[in-house]
Amino acid sequence: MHPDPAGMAAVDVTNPQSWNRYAYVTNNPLSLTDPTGLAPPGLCPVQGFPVCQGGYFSNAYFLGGNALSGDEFDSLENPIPVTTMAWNPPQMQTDSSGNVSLTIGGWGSVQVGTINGLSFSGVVYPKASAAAQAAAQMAANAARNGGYPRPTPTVPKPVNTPEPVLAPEPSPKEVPLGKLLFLKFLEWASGATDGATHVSVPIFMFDPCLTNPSPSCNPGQNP
Amino acid sequence: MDIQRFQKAISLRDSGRLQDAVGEFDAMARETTDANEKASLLINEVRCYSGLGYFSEAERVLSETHELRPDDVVVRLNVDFGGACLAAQKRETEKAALVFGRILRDYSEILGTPEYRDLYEDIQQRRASAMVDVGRCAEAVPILRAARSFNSLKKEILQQVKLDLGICHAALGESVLAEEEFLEVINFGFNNEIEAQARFRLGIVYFTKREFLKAKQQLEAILRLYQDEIASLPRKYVYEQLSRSCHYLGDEASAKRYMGMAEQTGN
Repeated sequence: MHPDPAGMAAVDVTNPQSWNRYAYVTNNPLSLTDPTGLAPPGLCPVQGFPVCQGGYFSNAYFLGGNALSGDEFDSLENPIPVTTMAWNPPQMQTDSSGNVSLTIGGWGSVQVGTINGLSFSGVVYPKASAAAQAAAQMAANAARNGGYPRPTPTVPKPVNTPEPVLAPEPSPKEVPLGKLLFLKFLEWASGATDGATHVSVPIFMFDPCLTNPSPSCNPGQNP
Repeated sequence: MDIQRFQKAISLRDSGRLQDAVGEFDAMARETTDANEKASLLINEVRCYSGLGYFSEAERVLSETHELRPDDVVVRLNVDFGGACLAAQKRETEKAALVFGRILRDYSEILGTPEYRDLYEDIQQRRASAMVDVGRCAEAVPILRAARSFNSLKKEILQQVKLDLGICHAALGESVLAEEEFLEVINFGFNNEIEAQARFRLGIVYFTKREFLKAKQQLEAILRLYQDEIASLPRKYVYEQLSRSCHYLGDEASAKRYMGMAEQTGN
């Protein structure tokens, strides 16, 4: 909800502080104290309507009456400055829903914002008073002060991979004979004078199909 | 709201008297008719139940809080945040990651203000941590990297950010980066559960790199530094991993001894 143009006019545009939701003490921090940390007495909280003079209506709306009737001021950004309040005493009631209303009897002489001398009659309803709103926000924010508990990451189970290779690579001597292929006999003749002695020495090679298999390879066959 | 009473309840909570604090928050919530005020009190109750580990009670009160439909954006933000934290603590981490992401989207305006910067950083860190827990490491790493420079994070949380980064790097096969992060976690010197986890995970990184001596040193440090049980790290796991490391170091006597200890350990 937003205030209509009349409502906006009711805001003291010459007082930028009045638009500041955090500036509860406005331009007079020395006289408007903030004992609860929520709002100064000058702001019109639920408990403070009768002493609202010099403070602000905020988060309120008006029912009945004159030009301001029905205007809604539903945010702290648009407080309604009240400089004087002539009737006395205003009557404050709390309904069954907890809404507090201020009944202003008859035409009064009140200055609202920059509309000097404007008087109105009606009922001021705090939709959620500034104090109550600030209190709710403070309480909600307090829920996370110190931090919600954090879950600790789940730890992984022990691992056993990769299996390290502990045995050394087999040497050619240890290659089983089945993995060697006969290549040829090397004919060796001694140079003795009493007659040549021929010796046949078998030559083997590693089977390439076992060490480097490929689709065209037939293990056990000579290349 | 009776501010003094509320502050007293917060003091009870912060001094560890969570059950007493629950009673106070609950009584105050029953006394007010304002939806925002009631919701803000109930979310404090949720926080206390969460701290007590009473998750079903926390869920019940959280559900009651949602039903109030508070219209104040700050109250709603805190209610949603409390719900996401509860989901994370219940190990509903996929849901938690989703809700944390939704909070960042739905409350971007308020979370973009300096006043709520700390909450923004908290949410991002928790969201990334939830992602890590469900294995969404590739998504989590950029968030975690950004989180390393978050000003509002306490050192203990920053330590967890680095643990999460280490976990992700290890999962992504980036063992050098994982080692760096785990060593940084240890270098905080907090001697806590997070450090114990970092040592265990670092031990695994070294083991898979066949640096068995380094693995053994980290794992034995856990036994030396943490005499008490570590909730998130079963001692059995440490013994088993030590046994395997000793085996590959050729120290069969130690391998057998540690395996025996693992078998004797209940958890």
